[in-house]
Amino acid sequence: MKAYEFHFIEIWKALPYLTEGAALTIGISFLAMLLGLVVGLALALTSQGSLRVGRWAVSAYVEIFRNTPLLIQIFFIYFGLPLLLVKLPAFASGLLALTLYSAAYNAEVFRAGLEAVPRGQREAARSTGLTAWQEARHVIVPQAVRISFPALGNNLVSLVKNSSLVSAIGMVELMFVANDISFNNFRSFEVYGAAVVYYMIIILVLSRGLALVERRLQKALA
Amino acid sequence: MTAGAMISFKAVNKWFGSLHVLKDIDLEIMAGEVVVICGPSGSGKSTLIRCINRLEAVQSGEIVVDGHRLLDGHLDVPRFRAEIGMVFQQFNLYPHMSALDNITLAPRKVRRLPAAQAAKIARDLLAKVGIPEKENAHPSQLSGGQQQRVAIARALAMQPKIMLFDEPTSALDPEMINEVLDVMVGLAREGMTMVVVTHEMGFARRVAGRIAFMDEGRIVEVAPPARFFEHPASDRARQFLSKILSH
Amino acid sequence: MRWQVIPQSLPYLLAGVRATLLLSATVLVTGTVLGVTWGLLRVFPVAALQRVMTVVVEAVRSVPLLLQMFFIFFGLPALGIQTPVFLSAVLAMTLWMGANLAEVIRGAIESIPRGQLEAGVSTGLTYGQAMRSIILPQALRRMLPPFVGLCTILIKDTSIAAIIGVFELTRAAQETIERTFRTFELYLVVAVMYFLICFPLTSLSRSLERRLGGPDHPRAVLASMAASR
Repeated sequence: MKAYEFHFIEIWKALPYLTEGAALTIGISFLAMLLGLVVGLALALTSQGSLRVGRWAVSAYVEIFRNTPLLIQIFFIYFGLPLLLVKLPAFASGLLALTLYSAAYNAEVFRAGLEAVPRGQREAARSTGLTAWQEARHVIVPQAVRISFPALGNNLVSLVKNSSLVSAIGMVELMFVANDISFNNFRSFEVYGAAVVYYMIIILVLSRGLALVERRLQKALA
Repeated sequence: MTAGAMISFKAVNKWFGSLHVLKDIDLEIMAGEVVVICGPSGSGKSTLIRCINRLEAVQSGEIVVDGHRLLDGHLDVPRFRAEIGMVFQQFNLYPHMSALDNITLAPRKVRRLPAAQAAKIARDLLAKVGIPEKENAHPSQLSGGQQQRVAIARALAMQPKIMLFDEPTSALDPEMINEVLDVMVGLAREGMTMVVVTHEMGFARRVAGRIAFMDEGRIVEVAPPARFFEHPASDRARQFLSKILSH
Repeated sequence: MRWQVIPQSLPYLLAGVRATLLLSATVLVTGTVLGVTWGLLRVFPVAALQRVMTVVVEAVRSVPLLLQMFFIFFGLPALGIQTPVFLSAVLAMTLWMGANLAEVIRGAIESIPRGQLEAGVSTGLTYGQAMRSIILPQALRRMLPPFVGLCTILIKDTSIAAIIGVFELTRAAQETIERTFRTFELYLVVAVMYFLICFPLTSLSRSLERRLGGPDHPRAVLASMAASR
């Protein structure tokens, strides 16, 4: 059998495309995280609220998204929804799936974060005459966010990895680009190897960045 | 080293990274002596006592404990530590074991005593520290003072030659401090060599042979309790005493 | 909606469920072995070893599972290693499980206050004796809820193997869709099937956490969330 010849030059040629894919991965992940944070916070606040229906609905939402595979969620939104509602383009489908998935996990983190704010804070806020809304907005939520930061950071890292699944519906990001290139030049080892390195760098930089922000937040909190 | 000296520090220096925590420590503790180490927080008292049983290592100087040179690379550390008992500020009892099991663990595993024999030793010690009825209780079911007494019994179970106490009552509610101090006084009167880091000056007055005052990593003053309390030689010792004795 | 497609495809889908469970069980065994090995190496008090293990575990956790599968299945043949799809999936997921389990183990062991280890060695126990009698029994109980959590994630992630062609539940759904085109009904029922398998495990993990007295303080819960994803 003819020995495999490594053509690392192929990586060099693919570099611009891979970099573009990496940028898309980062962009998609951050966008989904941002949206997922907003939705997640809303869910968490609802689950702490007074409406029993609201609490139950959030519970159901979180359980559904946490106990089914992300891939199935992506397929359902992209392939399944068209039969019922509307066909969303790949980008919107992927983003929607990632956002909803991320929101479920973020909701859990926010819930724990809200519970971790010391009880005395609420009492102090009420005793100075703040309304429930003001208390939430100025006292409770900012502290909850600061406390939740490390776990949320972890959710972001997971999201970056999970974003690779949207390649399965043809959404363009790093994984898709790697597939595309290697299916064309058959240099699977080199191209996938390069993709591995790209993801490692992205996540390494992201982790370090998050750790830095976390330290700053600790100082501000303390 | 003076004959009969159980513990000897000579020109000992220790750094945590770039932080110089122990500076030129010279100290000798004789067999049967009770030495109290006191000083402001951050003065290096805990670090000093933890060097004695090699929980901390030093970079320069010489420490000799019971004839063992601690900087010797060939030292059999577990065997060495079995001869020294240590009591911690946070008790550090094993939460998943009963009081009895906490005490018998080391005798069974290290000295390989049969369970029944170890249990007898443990029961005697629990009686000695005043809580024989608690042998089957888990740490979470005991008060702070009771936990610390179990911790003392655990340390005594190995029949050590030296007992080290690292702020043994600092984590206790005030009403429980005396029950622990009483046990320690009893040990001192039996002739145990003890090194105690504490703020409890009443205890020091009762049983300490000498008091070593530390500040910023140095031993500033060493004197018998009477002299230390009445006529402290250094300003810093005077300041320290005025702060802790005033309430 | 053509709901009748569901009972019609049920036998095939159930075959997919069996394959999913088989794949999961296989990786559970291999992944646990690897994870325990890596986990214990990670806490072994030799600085160089810890550094190496940290790099290995972090490296594995920095790459998406899908890419690992692709790399093993498509890329390794370059080195002369031919890996069939099932083996590729098992290998990739074993690495994933091993790295994450190692982190769970490390987290559990490090959550035991250091003072207990010090108390143990100060009575003359060796590091190994102290680990075995004092630290590990407590750590084991703390590891159990996140371990069950990992098993749940494992079952969900088997769906990724469908992309490289491994037969399991997701693939069974895809193949059925190729014949019937009923994407909505089929992905829905498959989601329900995954839910029925995973939800009990998630509930088990939560009740274990309550019963084994895991971290109940919210801050500690957050810390464990931060550490184990």
